[in-house]
Amino acid sequence: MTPALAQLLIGHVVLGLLGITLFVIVTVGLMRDLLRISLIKWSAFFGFVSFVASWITGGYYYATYYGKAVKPVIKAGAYPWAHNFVMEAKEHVFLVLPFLAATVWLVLWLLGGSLETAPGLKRAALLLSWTIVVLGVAITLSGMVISGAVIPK
Amino acid sequence: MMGWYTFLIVMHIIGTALGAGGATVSDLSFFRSVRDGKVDRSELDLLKTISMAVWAGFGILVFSGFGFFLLYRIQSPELGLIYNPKLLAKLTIVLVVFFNGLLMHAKVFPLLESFVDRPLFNPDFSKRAPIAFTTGAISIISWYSALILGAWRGLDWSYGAIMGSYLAVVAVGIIFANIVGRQLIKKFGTNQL
Repeated sequence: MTPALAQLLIGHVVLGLLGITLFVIVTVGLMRDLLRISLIKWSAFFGFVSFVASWITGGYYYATYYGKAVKPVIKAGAYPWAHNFVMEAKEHVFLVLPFLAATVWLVLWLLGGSLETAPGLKRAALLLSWTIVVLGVAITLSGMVISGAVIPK
Repeated sequence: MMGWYTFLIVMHIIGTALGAGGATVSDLSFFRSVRDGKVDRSELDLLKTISMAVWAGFGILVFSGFGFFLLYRIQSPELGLIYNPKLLAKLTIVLVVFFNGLLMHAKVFPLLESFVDRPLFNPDFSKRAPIAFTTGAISIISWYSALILGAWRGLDWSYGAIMGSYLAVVAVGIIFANIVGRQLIKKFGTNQL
């Protein structure tokens, strides 16, 4: 792996974790009775940006390196299901995250001021934010399972 | 110059100290706060501040943990560390800490918030309090379990054995915390009569 590809992989992981961290702030923020709108709006915005950036770095790594150098090692190793099932699932589920994040961000930016007076809207935003956190954690674990299965002989 | 490995070790220790230390202080502060039969605003603010320290510790721990993972992935993938039962158990417990922390924010802090400066000896609090005792027990036991797993170099148990032991300790902790909690609530009642 070249240093540039290693940096892309590190960027992919760190940006993904950062996105989840920011959406944890959004989730916990939305649970409060007194909302700190500014904090959760900006957290949602930067969370969305982090997911998109993680998507791009991971996508570039996947398209230029994973298929030819990593996938064959996994498939020939002790855990071929890490690619056959986990990676196949991850690369589809991951597509959803930036769109969910964008939805929460837009809701908070456009309707943030009315969240305290509209409990239904607040509940829906909280549910969506929870979904992002749970999916984000699942995708992170998938990444670990896939990466951990790269065991050259 | 400090290498990446040393830097990650230092961050991991800081994260563990903040997390496990914060969880301990949080549980002690909770029981100290409710001892007089009510929670006042300053006690709740203190609990929230400690909770922020625990989250900060958790964040540092997770980022440094992934740092180790990436370091091994890039420099020594042949070690195949991720499929180590001890590491898998530690990851599972870290997940428990994470979702338990979110549950505390969803249920426990709003509960305490709604009883600020009100007597805790009442049927509503008694009915809802077990979630506070239960999540508190899960938090402290999980933090110390992760700490012990991280420090115990020679442990060669299977994933099932580690998680079985962990779940047994968690179950005992939950029962113990709820018994102590109920006794406290009863004591509030006796003091008020």
